[in-house]
Amino acid sequence: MADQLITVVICENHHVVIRGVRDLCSRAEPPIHVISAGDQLARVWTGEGAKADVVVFDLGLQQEDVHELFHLRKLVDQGRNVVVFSGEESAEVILECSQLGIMSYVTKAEGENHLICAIQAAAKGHKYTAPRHAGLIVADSASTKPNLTAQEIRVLLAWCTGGMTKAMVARKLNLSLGSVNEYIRRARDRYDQVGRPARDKVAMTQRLIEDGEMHPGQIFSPIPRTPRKSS
Amino acid sequence: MKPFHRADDDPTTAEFLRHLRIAVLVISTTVLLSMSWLRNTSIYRPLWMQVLAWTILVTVTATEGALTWRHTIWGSARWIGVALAFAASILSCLSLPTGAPATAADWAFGTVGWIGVILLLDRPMTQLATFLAVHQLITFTNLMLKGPANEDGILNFVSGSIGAIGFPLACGMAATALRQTARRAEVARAQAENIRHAEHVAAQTAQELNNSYADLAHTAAPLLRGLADGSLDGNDPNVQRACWIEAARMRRLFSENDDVPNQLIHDLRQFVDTAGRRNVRAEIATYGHPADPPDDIRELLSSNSLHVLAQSRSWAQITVVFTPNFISVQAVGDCGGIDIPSCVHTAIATENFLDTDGTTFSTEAQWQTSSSPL
Repeated sequence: MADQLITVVICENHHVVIRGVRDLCSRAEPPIHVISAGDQLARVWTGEGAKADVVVFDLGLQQEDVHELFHLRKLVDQGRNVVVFSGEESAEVILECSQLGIMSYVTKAEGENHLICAIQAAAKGHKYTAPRHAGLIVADSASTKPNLTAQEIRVLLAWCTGGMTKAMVARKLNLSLGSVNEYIRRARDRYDQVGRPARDKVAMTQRLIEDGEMHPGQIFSPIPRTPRKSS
Repeated sequence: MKPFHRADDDPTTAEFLRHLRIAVLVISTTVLLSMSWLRNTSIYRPLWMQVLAWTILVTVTATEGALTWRHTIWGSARWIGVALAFAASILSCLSLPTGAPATAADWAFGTVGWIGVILLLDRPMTQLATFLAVHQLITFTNLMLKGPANEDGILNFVSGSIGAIGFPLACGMAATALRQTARRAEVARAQAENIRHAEHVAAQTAQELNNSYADLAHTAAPLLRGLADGSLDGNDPNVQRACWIEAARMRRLFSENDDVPNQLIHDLRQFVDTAGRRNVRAEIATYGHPADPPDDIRELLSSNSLHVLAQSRSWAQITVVFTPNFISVQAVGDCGGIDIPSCVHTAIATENFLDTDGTTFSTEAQWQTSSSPL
């Protein structure tokens, strides 16, 4: 896979950002081929875009009043490898996206150093946890947060500084690079598996609508009771 | 609820009520020990009821004496005491002969009211009033049953009520007024204490600030003197670094008076701004809910970052992580191996690391806010 050309489709509404991502992709080793880029979601589902290895997705597309996380969920459910590349840095959004099952969340401030790594990992079906994301995991004080081990905390703390490569983190903590990756992966996987009840209800409702079991208008109406048949 | 417990009044109220309790106790003891019933032992039928009633009231009074001595008050046992007081009142009434109610032989009429004050002094006024009304009703009923239910008898009863009911009721009202006054006094005392405390803190803060400014005289002043008299070269990197550190220190000192949500982040931002003016690309990232460590801890946490920012050549990254268990301040920059004074505070763990490239240096200061291990 490492030698195969990676293809990406970019959902982004700022042309400057698209040019920047294209430039980063072209300088990657081996180069990453951008199949399509723009603010229309259709390009992700049709033509060559539907076959792209990785979807680079920006939040804030403002698609016809439909929440962008709905599209994100749909992409993940369809088995697409999604890297969210966004200017949104709030803990709530990043952790929510992560729990939806995306491969990576890279903030635009981190793009230069981490977007290519995230795309390369996603193309292989691996998750890549960028420093901002790592810092939010270690600092989250939600009651639903799983307990992190001391070593996981040490690794996440060193990685979230953003000023060190993973190799440096490994040298600092006297670990192998593989161990650093493993600790980050383990912490994030456990974290992503912790479902937040509110999110689950929303997700369940979304799934029911997608599957045609429920109409959006039914969300606030009482559930009709089926009359009991007399025996 | 315990039978007896410590008073939870504020100190001023407790002191006021204690003196009143002692006064009531003295009155009750005097009334009981006068043993006026001894002068009429021949008329009571049966006598043992009078003796039992007197013994009950003496027991309640003795208990009150012990409680006052031990600075405790009636708890749930209060209601047993009230029941016993009524029982004594009824026992006394039952053994009184015809024509004796509300006369000198009816000693309990003038005594039980004081026992009510003992038991209900710290309760709302209405409870004592109800107690006295019930006691009055018992005596009045006895008067109606045994007589003399005539004008003289009623007048006797009314005039006797002044002592039997009026004085205890006045005592209860005094207690209520005292409690209100004591509460106001306590509020005023607490306010005065808060003002004194605030003045003390302000004076201490001003003193600490003065000390910090005085410290600058030993660090910043020699630099300025050296630059002024030409003994220090402004182009010397060491001098530049020293100037940068002093500038950051001064900015931190000035910013200590700012009203900011989190002083630690505020301090670090000041350092980062100063580094930016030195053309160092410095950034700060924060995670978690910002908490405010004590002043001395805050300064130690940011101290290492100050050195990295001062000596980085082109970039530096500060990261602050707040978790419920610890606060971590990390700094990474291209300052190479630098000497950072070791932190002597036992609650702060520091870790420095120079990467193999000999340029990238990272330092972390971590303060454990809870005892849970990492």
